[in-house]
Amino acid sequence: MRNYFIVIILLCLVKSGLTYGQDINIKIGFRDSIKSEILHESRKILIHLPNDYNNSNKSYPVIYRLDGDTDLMLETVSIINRLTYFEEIVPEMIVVFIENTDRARDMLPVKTNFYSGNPGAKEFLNFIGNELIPYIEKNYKTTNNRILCGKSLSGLFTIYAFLTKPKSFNSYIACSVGFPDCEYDFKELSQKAFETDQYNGQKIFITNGLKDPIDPDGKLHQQIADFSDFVKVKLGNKVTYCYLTYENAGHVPFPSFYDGLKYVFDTNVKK
Amino acid sequence: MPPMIIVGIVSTDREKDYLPSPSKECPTGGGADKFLNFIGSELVTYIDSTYQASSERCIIGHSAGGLFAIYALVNQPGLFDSYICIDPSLWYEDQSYVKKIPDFFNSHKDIKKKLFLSLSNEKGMGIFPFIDLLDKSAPVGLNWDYIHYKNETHNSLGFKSICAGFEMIYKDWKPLENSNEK
Repeated sequence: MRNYFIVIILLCLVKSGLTYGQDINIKIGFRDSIKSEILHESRKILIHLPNDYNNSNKSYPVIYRLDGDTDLMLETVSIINRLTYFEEIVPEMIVVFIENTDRARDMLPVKTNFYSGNPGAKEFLNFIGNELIPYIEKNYKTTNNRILCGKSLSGLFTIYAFLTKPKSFNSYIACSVGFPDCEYDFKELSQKAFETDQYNGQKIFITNGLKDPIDPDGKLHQQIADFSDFVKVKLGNKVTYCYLTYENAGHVPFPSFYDGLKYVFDTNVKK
Repeated sequence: MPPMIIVGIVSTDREKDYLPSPSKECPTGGGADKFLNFIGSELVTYIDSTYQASSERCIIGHSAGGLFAIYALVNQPGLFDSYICIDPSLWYEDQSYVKKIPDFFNSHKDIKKKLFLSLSNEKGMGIFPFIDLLDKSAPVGLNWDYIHYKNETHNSLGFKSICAGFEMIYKDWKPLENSNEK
Protein backbone atom coordinates (compact mmCIF):
# COMPACT_ATOMS: atom_id res chain seq x y z
CA MET A 1 0.00 0.00 0.00
CA ARG A 2 3.02 2.27 -0.02
CA ASN A 3 2.33 4.94 -2.54
CA TYR A 4 5.13 7.39 -2.91
CA PHE A 5 7.83 9.12 -0.95
CA ILE A 6 7.44 12.41 0.81
CA VAL A 7 10.46 14.51 0.24
CA ILE A 8 10.96 17.81 1.95
CA ILE A 9 13.23 20.20 0.19
CA LEU A 10 14.86 22.16 2.94
CA LEU A 11 17.04 24.90 1.63
CA CYS A 12 19.92 25.43 -0.66
CA LEU A 13 23.27 25.49 1.06
CA VAL A 14 26.10 26.61 -1.09
CA LYS A 15 29.83 26.35 -0.69
CA SER A 16 30.79 27.84 -3.99
CA GLY A 17 29.22 28.98 -7.21
CA LEU A 18 29.67 25.53 -8.66
CA THR A 19 27.16 23.93 -6.34
CA TYR A 20 24.72 26.82 -6.53
CA GLY A 21 21.15 25.82 -5.92
CA GLN A 22 21.86 22.16 -5.32
CA ASP A 23 18.69 20.83 -3.66
CA ILE A 24 18.81 19.01 -0.36
CA ASN A 25 16.42 16.09 -0.27
CA ILE A 26 15.77 14.56 3.10
CA LYS A 27 13.42 11.65 3.30
CA ILE A 28 11.21 11.94 6.36
CA GLY A 29 8.72 9.23 5.52
CA PHE A 30 6.22 7.96 3.00
CA ARG A 31 2.50 7.91 2.32
CA ASP A 32 0.19 4.98 2.79
CA SER A 33 -3.55 4.49 3.08
CA ILE A 34 -6.06 2.14 4.61
CA LYS A 35 -9.49 1.24 3.28
CA SER A 36 -11.56 1.43 6.43
CA GLU A 37 -14.67 -0.72 6.61
CA ILE A 38 -15.61 0.91 9.88
CA LEU A 39 -15.53 4.44 8.45
CA HIS A 40 -16.56 3.49 4.91
CA GLU A 41 -13.74 5.53 3.47
CA SER A 42 -10.09 5.34 2.58
CA ARG A 43 -7.85 7.00 5.18
CA LYS A 44 -4.51 8.47 4.30
CA ILE A 45 -1.62 8.04 6.67
CA LEU A 46 1.97 9.28 6.68
CA ILE A 47 4.63 7.06 8.21
CA HIS A 48 8.06 7.94 9.57
CA LEU A 49 10.49 5.11 10.31
CA PRO A 50 13.64 5.53 12.43
CA ASN A 51 16.80 6.29 10.49
CA ASP A 52 18.37 2.88 11.13
CA TYR A 53 15.10 0.96 10.71
CA ASN A 54 16.17 -1.14 7.73
CA ASN A 55 19.55 -2.07 9.20
CA SER A 56 18.46 -2.98 12.68
CA ASN A 57 16.76 -5.95 14.31
CA LYS A 58 15.15 -3.65 16.83
CA SER A 59 11.45 -3.14 17.39
CA TYR A 60 10.21 0.38 18.00
CA PRO A 61 7.48 2.16 19.95
CA VAL A 62 4.80 3.73 17.76
CA ILE A 63 3.38 7.18 18.24
CA TYR A 64 0.08 7.94 16.54
CA ARG A 65 -0.36 11.64 15.75
CA LEU A 66 -3.74 13.03 14.87
CA ASP A 67 -4.28 15.94 12.46
CA GLY A 68 -1.47 14.51 10.34
CA ASP A 69 0.04 16.52 7.50
CA THR A 70 3.54 17.11 6.15
CA ASP A 71 4.08 20.24 8.30
CA LEU A 72 3.31 18.32 11.48
CA MET A 73 5.48 15.51 10.18
CA LEU A 74 8.51 17.76 9.66
CA GLU A 75 8.07 19.31 13.12
CA THR A 76 7.62 15.92 14.81
CA VAL A 77 10.58 14.29 13.11
CA SER A 78 12.81 17.28 13.99
CA ILE A 79 11.83 17.03 17.64
CA ILE A 80 12.39 13.28 17.77
CA ASN A 81 15.76 13.67 16.04
CA ARG A 82 16.75 16.26 18.62
CA LEU A 83 15.68 14.06 21.54
CA THR A 84 17.29 10.88 20.20
CA TYR A 85 20.52 12.62 19.29
CA PHE A 86 23.51 11.67 21.41
CA GLU A 87 21.85 10.92 24.72
CA GLU A 88 18.68 9.08 23.71
CA ILE A 89 16.42 11.13 25.94
CA VAL A 90 13.70 9.30 24.05
CA PRO A 91 14.19 6.11 22.00
CA GLU A 92 13.94 5.98 18.22
CA MET A 93 10.32 5.46 17.27
CA ILE A 94 7.89 4.94 14.43
CA VAL A 95 5.44 7.78 13.87
CA VAL A 96 2.08 7.31 12.16
CA PHE A 97 0.28 10.50 11.15
CA ILE A 98 -3.43 10.19 10.41
CA GLU A 99 -4.70 12.75 7.92
CA ASN A 100 -8.12 14.29 8.45
CA THR A 101 -11.11 13.91 6.20
CA ASP A 102 -13.83 15.38 8.43
CA ARG A 103 -12.00 16.55 11.52
CA ALA A 104 -14.90 17.69 13.71
CA ARG A 105 -16.89 14.53 12.96
CA ASP A 106 -13.99 12.26 13.90
CA MET A 107 -12.80 14.10 17.00
CA LEU A 108 -16.09 14.84 18.75
CA PRO A 109 -17.76 12.10 20.76
CA VAL A 110 -20.93 14.07 21.62
CA LYS A 111 -23.19 16.72 20.13
CA THR A 112 -21.93 20.25 20.67
CA ASN A 113 -23.10 23.64 19.54
CA PHE A 114 -20.17 24.08 17.17
CA TYR A 115 -20.66 21.03 14.98
CA SER A 116 -24.01 20.30 13.40
CA GLY A 117 -23.22 16.81 12.05
CA ASN A 118 -23.32 13.53 13.90
CA PRO A 119 -20.35 13.06 16.25
CA GLY A 120 -18.18 10.17 15.10
CA ALA A 121 -15.33 9.84 17.63
CA LYS A 122 -16.48 6.37 18.65
CA GLU A 123 -16.20 5.04 15.10
CA PHE A 124 -12.90 6.86 14.54
CA LEU A 125 -11.46 5.32 17.70
CA ASN A 126 -12.71 1.91 16.55
CA PHE A 127 -10.96 2.47 13.24
CA ILE A 128 -7.71 3.25 15.06
CA GLY A 129 -7.99 0.32 17.46
CA ASN A 130 -9.34 -2.35 15.10
CA GLU A 131 -7.93 -1.43 11.73
CA LEU A 132 -5.00 1.00 11.93
CA ILE A 133 -3.07 -0.41 14.90
CA PRO A 134 -3.33 -4.05 13.69
CA TYR A 135 -2.21 -2.94 10.22
CA ILE A 136 0.83 -1.08 11.58
CA GLU A 137 1.80 -3.85 13.98
CA LYS A 138 1.51 -6.50 11.27
CA ASN A 139 3.64 -4.61 8.77
CA TYR A 140 6.30 -2.95 10.92
CA LYS A 141 8.72 -3.90 13.67
CA THR A 142 6.81 -2.52 16.64
CA THR A 143 6.99 -2.96 20.37
CA ASN A 144 3.70 -2.94 22.23
CA ASN A 145 4.38 0.59 23.46
CA ARG A 146 1.80 2.84 21.79
CA ILE A 147 1.37 6.56 22.26
CA LEU A 148 -1.51 8.74 21.07
CA CYS A 149 -1.04 12.47 20.57
CA GLY A 150 -3.59 15.11 19.63
CA LYS A 151 -3.88 18.88 19.78
CA SER A 152 -6.86 21.13 20.29
CA LEU A 153 -9.92 19.25 18.98
CA SER A 154 -7.85 16.09 18.47
CA GLY A 155 -6.54 16.60 22.01
CA LEU A 156 -10.14 16.30 23.15
CA PHE A 157 -10.29 13.06 21.18
CA THR A 158 -7.09 11.93 22.92
CA ILE A 159 -8.74 12.38 26.32
CA TYR A 160 -11.82 10.60 24.99
CA ALA A 161 -9.58 7.67 24.00
CA PHE A 162 -7.99 7.67 27.47
CA LEU A 163 -11.47 7.45 29.00
CA THR A 164 -13.01 4.85 26.71
CA LYS A 165 -10.08 2.77 25.40
CA PRO A 166 -7.42 3.05 28.10
CA LYS A 167 -5.89 -0.24 27.02
CA SER A 168 -5.29 0.82 23.42
CA PHE A 169 -2.35 3.09 24.28
CA ASN A 170 0.29 3.21 26.98
CA SER A 171 0.51 7.00 26.88
CA TYR A 172 -1.68 9.90 25.90
CA ILE A 173 -0.42 13.40 25.02
CA ALA A 174 -3.07 16.11 24.61
CA CYS A 175 -1.99 19.68 23.78
CA SER A 176 -4.33 22.67 24.28
CA VAL A 177 -7.52 21.03 25.45
CA GLY A 178 -10.73 21.87 27.23
CA PHE A 179 -14.26 20.54 27.14
CA PRO A 180 -16.07 23.19 25.08
CA ASP A 181 -19.80 22.66 25.37
CA CYS A 182 -19.22 19.09 26.55
CA GLU A 183 -17.92 19.42 30.10
CA TYR A 184 -20.86 17.56 31.57
CA ASP A 185 -20.49 14.73 29.03
CA PHE A 186 -16.83 14.29 29.88
CA LYS A 187 -17.60 14.41 33.58
CA GLU A 188 -20.01 11.53 33.06
CA LEU A 189 -17.56 9.64 30.87
CA SER A 190 -14.79 10.07 33.46
CA GLN A 191 -16.98 8.92 36.32
CA LYS A 192 -17.94 5.79 34.44
CA ALA A 193 -14.42 5.10 33.20
CA PHE A 194 -12.68 5.51 36.54
CA GLU A 195 -14.99 2.94 38.17
CA THR A 196 -13.48 0.27 35.90
CA ASP A 197 -10.25 -1.62 36.60
CA GLN A 198 -8.61 -0.72 33.30
CA TYR A 199 -6.17 1.85 34.65
CA ASN A 200 -2.77 0.47 35.42
CA GLY A 201 0.38 2.35 34.50
CA GLN A 202 -0.84 4.61 31.69
CA LYS A 203 0.82 7.98 31.30
CA ILE A 204 -1.15 11.12 30.52
CA PHE A 205 0.36 14.47 29.65
CA ILE A 206 -1.90 17.45 29.01
CA THR A 207 -0.86 21.04 28.23
CA ASN A 208 -2.44 24.45 27.81
CA GLY A 209 -1.06 27.90 27.06
CA LEU A 210 -2.40 30.45 29.53
CA LYS A 211 -2.51 33.17 26.86
CA ASP A 212 -4.61 31.09 24.49
CA PRO A 213 -6.70 33.42 22.32
CA ILE A 214 -9.48 30.83 22.11
CA ASP A 215 -9.64 30.69 25.90
CA PRO A 216 -9.58 34.38 26.94
CA ASP A 217 -11.37 33.84 30.27
CA GLY A 218 -9.44 30.68 31.22
CA LYS A 219 -12.54 28.52 31.17
CA LEU A 220 -10.97 25.65 29.20
CA HIS A 221 -7.91 25.72 31.44
CA GLN A 222 -10.15 25.53 34.51
CA GLN A 223 -12.00 22.54 33.03
CA ILE A 224 -8.72 20.66 32.62
CA ALA A 225 -7.56 21.71 36.09
CA ASP A 226 -10.81 20.24 37.49
CA PHE A 227 -10.38 17.13 35.35
CA SER A 228 -6.82 16.76 36.67
CA ASP A 229 -8.06 16.92 40.26
CA PHE A 230 -10.65 14.30 39.47
CA VAL A 231 -8.06 11.97 37.88
CA LYS A 232 -5.83 12.33 40.94
CA VAL A 233 -8.65 11.61 43.37
CA LYS A 234 -10.05 8.67 41.44
CA LEU A 235 -6.96 7.03 39.96
CA GLY A 236 -4.15 8.19 42.25
CA ASN A 237 -1.02 6.19 41.59
CA LYS A 238 -2.65 3.90 39.08
CA VAL A 239 -1.66 6.34 36.34
CA THR A 240 1.19 8.81 35.85
CA TYR A 241 -0.43 12.14 35.22
CA CYS A 242 0.80 15.64 34.41
CA TYR A 243 -1.05 18.81 33.51
CA LEU A 244 1.49 21.41 32.39
CA THR A 245 0.60 25.02 31.58
CA TYR A 246 2.79 27.53 29.75
CA GLU A 247 2.30 30.99 31.15
CA ASN A 248 3.12 33.02 28.06
CA ALA A 249 2.06 30.62 25.32
CA GLY A 250 -0.96 30.71 23.04
CA HIS A 251 -2.87 27.89 21.39
CA VAL A 252 -0.95 24.59 21.17
CA PRO A 253 2.31 25.70 22.84
CA PHE A 254 5.21 24.71 20.62
CA PRO A 255 7.18 22.83 23.35
CA SER A 256 4.11 20.68 24.27
CA PHE A 257 5.06 17.70 22.16
CA TYR A 258 8.73 17.95 23.13
CA ASP A 259 7.89 18.07 26.85
CA GLY A 260 5.27 15.35 26.37
CA LEU A 261 7.77 12.94 24.82
CA LYS A 262 10.25 13.63 27.61
CA TYR A 263 7.54 12.96 30.18
CA VAL A 264 6.40 9.74 28.55
CA PHE A 265 9.97 8.42 28.28
CA ASP A 266 11.02 9.77 31.65
CA THR A 267 13.04 6.59 32.35
CA ASN A 268 15.46 7.53 29.56
CA VAL A 269 16.32 10.87 31.16
CA LYS A 270 19.54 10.87 33.17
CA LYS A 271 18.73 12.22 36.58
CA MET B 1 7.87 36.06 13.52
CA PRO B 2 8.56 36.77 9.88
CA PRO B 3 9.40 34.04 7.39
CA MET B 4 13.16 33.92 6.98
CA ILE B 5 16.04 32.55 5.01
CA ILE B 6 18.24 30.11 6.94
CA VAL B 7 21.87 29.60 6.05
CA GLY B 8 23.49 26.63 7.77
CA ILE B 9 27.26 26.87 7.71
CA VAL B 10 28.71 23.38 7.49
CA SER B 11 31.63 22.91 9.86
CA THR B 12 35.03 21.71 8.78
CA ASP B 13 36.82 22.26 12.10
CA ARG B 14 34.56 23.72 14.78
CA GLU B 15 37.31 24.48 17.25
CA LYS B 16 39.46 26.20 14.68
CA ASP B 17 36.59 28.35 13.40
CA TYR B 18 34.80 29.20 16.64
CA LEU B 19 37.56 29.65 19.19
CA PRO B 20 39.45 32.94 19.16
CA SER B 21 42.64 31.40 20.51
CA PRO B 22 44.24 27.97 20.93
CA SER B 23 44.36 26.33 24.33
CA LYS B 24 45.66 23.14 25.89
CA GLU B 25 42.31 21.37 25.34
CA CYS B 26 41.72 22.85 21.91
CA PRO B 27 45.07 23.27 20.18
CA THR B 28 43.50 23.96 16.76
CA GLY B 29 41.55 26.94 18.15
CA GLY B 30 42.42 30.45 17.04
CA GLY B 31 40.65 30.86 13.72
CA ALA B 32 37.63 32.81 14.95
CA ASP B 33 38.90 36.09 13.54
CA LYS B 34 39.34 34.62 10.07
CA PHE B 35 36.03 32.82 10.22
CA LEU B 36 34.27 36.03 11.24
CA ASN B 37 35.90 37.85 8.37
CA PHE B 38 34.77 35.10 6.01
CA ILE B 39 31.19 35.51 7.23
CA GLY B 40 31.25 39.31 7.14
CA SER B 41 33.17 39.90 3.93
CA GLU B 42 32.32 36.87 1.84
CA LEU B 43 29.33 34.84 3.03
CA VAL B 44 26.94 37.67 3.92
CA THR B 45 27.88 39.51 0.74
CA TYR B 46 27.23 36.39 -1.30
CA ILE B 47 23.87 35.63 0.36
CA ASP B 48 22.70 39.25 0.12
CA SER B 49 23.53 39.48 -3.55
CA THR B 50 22.08 36.07 -4.46
CA TYR B 51 18.84 35.92 -2.47
CA GLN B 52 16.03 38.29 -1.52
CA ALA B 53 17.56 38.99 1.87
CA SER B 54 16.64 42.04 3.95
CA SER B 55 19.36 43.75 5.95
CA GLU B 56 18.25 42.05 9.17
CA ARG B 57 20.59 39.28 10.30
CA CYS B 58 20.60 36.88 13.26
CA ILE B 59 23.32 34.47 14.36
CA ILE B 60 22.67 31.28 16.31
CA GLY B 61 25.52 29.40 17.96
CA HIS B 62 25.67 26.43 20.31
CA SER B 63 28.49 25.75 22.79
CA ALA B 64 31.73 26.97 21.15
CA GLY B 65 29.45 28.45 18.48
CA GLY B 66 27.77 30.49 21.23
CA LEU B 67 31.14 31.86 22.29
CA PHE B 68 31.78 32.72 18.65
CA ALA B 69 28.48 34.63 18.47
CA ILE B 70 29.59 36.77 21.43
CA TYR B 71 32.98 37.19 19.78
CA ALA B 72 31.15 38.40 16.65
CA LEU B 73 29.18 40.93 18.70
CA VAL B 74 32.32 42.38 20.21
CA ASN B 75 34.50 42.33 17.10
CA GLN B 76 32.06 43.11 14.29
CA PRO B 77 29.07 44.64 16.03
CA GLY B 78 27.60 45.86 12.77
CA LEU B 79 27.20 42.39 11.29
CA PHE B 80 24.21 40.95 13.18
CA ASP B 81 21.09 42.43 14.74
CA SER B 82 20.30 39.55 17.05
CA TYR B 83 22.17 36.74 18.78
CA ILE B 84 20.98 33.40 20.15
CA CYS B 85 23.69 31.80 22.28
CA ILE B 86 22.94 28.23 23.42
CA ASP B 87 25.10 27.05 26.32
CA PRO B 88 27.92 29.31 25.10
CA SER B 89 31.42 28.23 26.18
CA LEU B 90 32.16 31.50 27.94
CA TRP B 91 34.46 29.66 30.37
CA TYR B 92 37.01 29.34 27.59
CA GLU B 93 40.51 30.53 28.41
CA ASP B 94 39.59 31.61 31.92
CA GLN B 95 36.70 33.81 30.74
CA SER B 96 39.10 35.94 28.77
CA TYR B 97 36.42 36.85 26.22
CA VAL B 98 33.95 37.84 28.91
CA LYS B 99 36.63 40.13 30.33
CA LYS B 100 36.62 42.14 27.12
CA ILE B 101 32.92 42.92 27.53
CA PRO B 102 33.09 45.99 29.85
CA ASP B 103 35.34 47.86 27.40
CA PHE B 104 33.01 46.94 24.58
CA PHE B 105 29.96 48.22 26.46
CA ASN B 106 31.80 51.46 27.28
CA SER B 107 32.76 52.14 23.71
CA HIS B 108 29.41 51.09 22.19
CA LYS B 109 26.81 52.83 24.29
CA ASP B 110 24.47 53.37 21.35
CA ILE B 111 24.22 49.83 19.98
CA LYS B 112 20.78 48.39 19.26
CA LYS B 113 20.91 44.59 19.58
CA LYS B 114 18.91 41.66 20.84
CA LEU B 115 20.68 38.90 22.72
CA PHE B 116 19.22 35.66 24.03
CA LEU B 117 21.27 33.35 26.23
CA SER B 118 20.39 29.91 27.51
CA LEU B 119 22.03 27.55 29.95
CA SER B 120 21.40 23.82 30.41
CA ASN B 121 22.05 21.70 33.49
CA GLU B 122 25.79 22.31 32.96
CA LYS B 123 27.58 24.05 35.77
CA GLY B 124 27.39 27.60 34.49
CA MET B 125 29.51 27.49 31.33
CA GLY B 126 30.90 30.82 32.53
CA ILE B 127 27.58 32.49 31.83
CA PHE B 128 26.97 33.96 35.27
CA PRO B 129 29.76 36.58 35.24
CA PHE B 130 28.48 37.63 31.81
CA ILE B 131 24.88 37.92 33.09
CA ASP B 132 26.24 40.02 35.92
CA LEU B 133 27.89 42.39 33.46
CA LEU B 134 24.71 42.61 31.38
CA ASP B 135 22.73 43.39 34.51
CA LYS B 136 25.07 46.13 35.64
CA SER B 137 26.36 47.76 32.54
CA ALA B 138 24.60 46.68 29.34
CA PRO B 139 23.90 49.62 27.02
CA VAL B 140 20.22 50.65 26.99
CA GLY B 141 19.80 49.46 23.42
CA LEU B 142 21.06 45.97 24.18
CA ASN B 143 17.84 44.09 24.75
CA TRP B 144 18.74 40.77 26.40
CA ASP B 145 17.18 37.80 28.11
CA TYR B 146 18.42 34.61 29.70
CA ILE B 147 16.77 31.29 30.55
CA HIS B 148 18.27 28.54 32.66
CA TYR B 149 16.84 25.20 31.49
CA LYS B 150 17.59 23.02 34.47
CA ASN B 151 15.87 20.00 32.90
CA GLU B 152 17.70 20.15 29.57
CA THR B 153 21.18 18.87 28.80
CA HIS B 154 23.96 20.50 26.81
CA ASN B 155 22.76 18.57 23.76
CA SER B 156 19.01 18.83 24.20
CA LEU B 157 18.48 22.49 25.04
CA GLY B 158 18.83 23.79 21.49
CA PHE B 159 15.19 23.14 20.70
CA LYS B 160 13.75 25.27 23.49
CA SER B 161 16.47 27.92 23.23
CA ILE B 162 15.85 28.67 19.58
CA CYS B 163 12.11 28.72 20.15
CA ALA B 164 12.37 31.07 23.16
CA GLY B 165 15.09 33.13 21.45
CA PHE B 166 12.88 33.87 18.45
CA GLU B 167 9.97 34.60 20.78
CA MET B 168 12.11 37.18 22.55
CA ILE B 169 13.61 38.69 19.39
CA TYR B 170 10.24 39.03 17.65
CA LYS B 171 8.18 39.89 20.70
CA ASP B 172 6.96 43.16 19.21
CA TRP B 173 6.93 41.99 15.62
CA LYS B 174 3.70 42.48 13.69
CA PRO B 175 3.11 41.33 10.14
CA LEU B 176 3.11 44.22 7.70
CA GLU B 177 -0.20 44.77 6.02
CA ASN B 178 0.13 44.22 2.29
CA SER B 179 3.65 43.07 2.96
CA ASN B 180 4.01 42.07 -0.67
CA GLU B 181 3.73 45.66 -1.72
CA LYS B 182 6.18 47.18 0.69
